[in-house]
Order: sequence, then C-alpha cells, then structure tokens
Amino acid sequence: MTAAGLFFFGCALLLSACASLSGPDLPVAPPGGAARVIVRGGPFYPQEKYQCGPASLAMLLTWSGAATTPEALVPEIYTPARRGGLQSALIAGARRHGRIAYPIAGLEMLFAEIEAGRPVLVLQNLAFSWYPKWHYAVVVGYDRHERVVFLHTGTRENEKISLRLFNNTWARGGFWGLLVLEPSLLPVKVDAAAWLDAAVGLELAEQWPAAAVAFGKASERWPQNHTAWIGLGNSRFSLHDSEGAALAFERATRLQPESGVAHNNLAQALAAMGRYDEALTAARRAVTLGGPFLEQFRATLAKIETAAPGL
Amino acid sequence: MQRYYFKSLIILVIIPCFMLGLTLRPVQVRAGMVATADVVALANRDALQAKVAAFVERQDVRQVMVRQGVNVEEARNRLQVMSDAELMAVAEQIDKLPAGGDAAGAIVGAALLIFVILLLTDLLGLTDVFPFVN
Repeated sequence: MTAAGLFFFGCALLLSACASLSGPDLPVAPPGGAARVIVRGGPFYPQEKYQCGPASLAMLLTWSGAATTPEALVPEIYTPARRGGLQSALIAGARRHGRIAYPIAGLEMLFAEIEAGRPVLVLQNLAFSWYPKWHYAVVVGYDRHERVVFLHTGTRENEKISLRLFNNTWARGGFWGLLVLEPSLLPVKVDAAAWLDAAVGLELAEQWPAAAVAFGKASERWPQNHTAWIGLGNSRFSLHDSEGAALAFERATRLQPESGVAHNNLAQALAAMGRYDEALTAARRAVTLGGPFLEQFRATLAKIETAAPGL
Repeated sequence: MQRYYFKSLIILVIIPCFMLGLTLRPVQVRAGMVATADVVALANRDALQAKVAAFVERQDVRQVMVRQGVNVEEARNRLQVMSDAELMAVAEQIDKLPAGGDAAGAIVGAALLIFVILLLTDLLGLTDVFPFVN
C-alpha cells in the first residue's frame, strides 16, 4: 500500500470512529416541534431485583388505562428459571390486558411516538455483546438540544441519558421497542400487517371487545383489507353480535368474491340469526370455492342443513 | 470440499431456523368460523410461496438448477406442497443473499446462492445433497 493509500485509509477509520463517538443523527424534528418533549400521565414503578420487565410493562399498561402493578404482573412475566422477562412474555402480558402490543424499531419511530405522547418500552444491553446484561426500561422523553433521552429505568425516575449511550445500548438489543396501546389508538407510523398481527394476538388472548375495536380501526384505515373485515366479523360474533358480524363478512365477500372463508363465516352469522336460506347459499358458495379450509366449509354446510327447519 | 463448506453453513444457519419452529396454529376441522389467525397464516403462506416462486424464476437460479440436473417445471409444481416451515426457512435464506458487489462479495454470493438452491431442491425432493434433509 502506498503512503497516500495508508493516509486515506487512516482518515476513513478515524472518520468512522468519530461517527460512533458523536452518536446517532437526530430524527428530523416535526415543524414547530419543541426541543424537549416529555410524555405525561404515566406512573413510575421502581423495579425489584430482576423485575425490570414487569415494572416496565406495568408502567405502560397503567399509562394506557389498564391500571396494574409490577407485583401483579410478576407471575405472568417473570419466570425464575430465566431471571427476567422475555419479549414474547411482555407482548403476551400486554395482550391479556386487552392492549395492542406493537413492536417498533429505531430512533425515528421512537421519537415519533414520544412526540405523539406515548411512552415506549425498550430492550437494552447494558454490558457487552459477548456477555450481555439485558434490561427493560421505559423511554418517557427526549431533549434535542442536550441530545439526551429520559428513561424510567431500574429504581431511577426520569433518568437523563446521552443519546449516544442510549443508542449504543439499544443497538445491542436490536433497537427493539414496544408500544402498549389502547386498541383505538394507531401508532404514528403504522403498518397494516403489524397492526393486524397485534389484533390477532388479542383474538388469541380471547379479548373480544379489544379485538373488535382493533379490527374496527383496521377496517377504517385499510378498508380494502380482507383480513381486517374477517377479524371484525369474528370479534363481533364472539360478542354475540351476529348482525354486525354478518355485515363485516358481507363486506369481505365483496372485497374478495373468491374468499371461501368470508362466505363460510357469513353463513355462520346468518344461520345464527335464523336467516337459513341466505346461510345455505353462502355455505354452498364456500364449499364451491374450496381451498385449504374445505373440510371446515363442508362441516359448516352440513350443520346448517341440519339446523334449517323444513329441510 | 464443497459439501463440507455447505454443511458448516447449514449447521450455523438452517438448523437454528428449524429449531425455532413456527407459531402457526393447526387448522381445526370443525364446523364454524374460520379464525382470523388462520386467515393471516394462510395469507403469510401465500406471500412466502410467491417469494420462493419468484426466486425459482430467476435466470441465474434456473441455470444452477439445470446444471444440477433438476427439472425446473417439476420444482415449480412441488413448491405448492412445501411445508410452511420449509418455505419460511428458504425465504429467510433468499432474503440474506447479497445483491452483488466487489469480487470477494461476488464469490461469497455465488456459494450462498448455490447453497440456497440446493437446499430448496433438496426440500423439494429433487436433489439429495444434504444428508440432514429428509
């Protein structure tokens, strides 16, 4: 390598080192945005030993209107063998309280949610990549001029941490963050698939009212989305609103006339209302359309044929 | 020599994917509503299949398949019945393929491409390169 080559190589190394020393770029500020933004309305729960997961989730749940305490969450989240909470355990815990658990990633999404007034649960690695010390904390604010974020972390409330240090510890956790939201609130940068995933999570946790709200929001925001209407129909049916369910399934059949699921589920809802003629038509249509759920469609048709009077 | 290289790649990369397993719920055959979770799983499967099918359509992929003596038409047919776990594993590997670059990157890229193709065709039952694939 020539002397010039070495010189440029050295400069490049130095520049890249400087980049990580000065910390990450600040996300673009919204027009008229304040330098310091703090999320209000959330409690602070200091953590007991190894209970950063339950403490963080308890703070977010209480902020979202589902008041709870770290102690109440410990049996759900804290598994002694693991000495801490898993990301999936936190998500499941949020869902069991009827809340949308929406993962986010990166500073832009984090800042956007803080600006919208929502706290964010984050996973940090406070030690080394080869010897990690995992930790959950809650981001409750930032200050652009000081280049800091404010965290409820461990036993410290509103702890001021440099953006550079936060970003380094957060990077080792894959920039993973979690929103815990009442299901009528959409994240600022929301993705249909991720929202529907969270809504399905509510359905799996049998939180029918919350699921109905979440799928309702989805059908408003993405009215062409077949899954959103199926989810809405299913949730309403679980809440014994057969008429509402039928309306949602009808919408799904118009969006995707080839959807056997939409016709099958519509048939169920119609049968529950005693509209057997229409139910039979829908059930037969589902069987004709076929697909991976064909056996289920046949079973539905058979059940309606048995139940319908005068056949 | 080639086999050894591929085998070590597999152990590092594929086996963890299979161990993770899937969280798709089994479709229950009972009269009644099809659950939204199953609808989502089906949509995901469709998306995965589309991704792997597009991969098979690539000219560089077809060239390797032909050189391995694989019937490309048969490969397309067998894609329909690949399991969700297998689809997910192949799709993940496809995502990791580099887009191109300098000479060193291109060599690694070629080896990885061949690996993904052979994995896929093994899973489709058209080749038998990797002993761990049934």
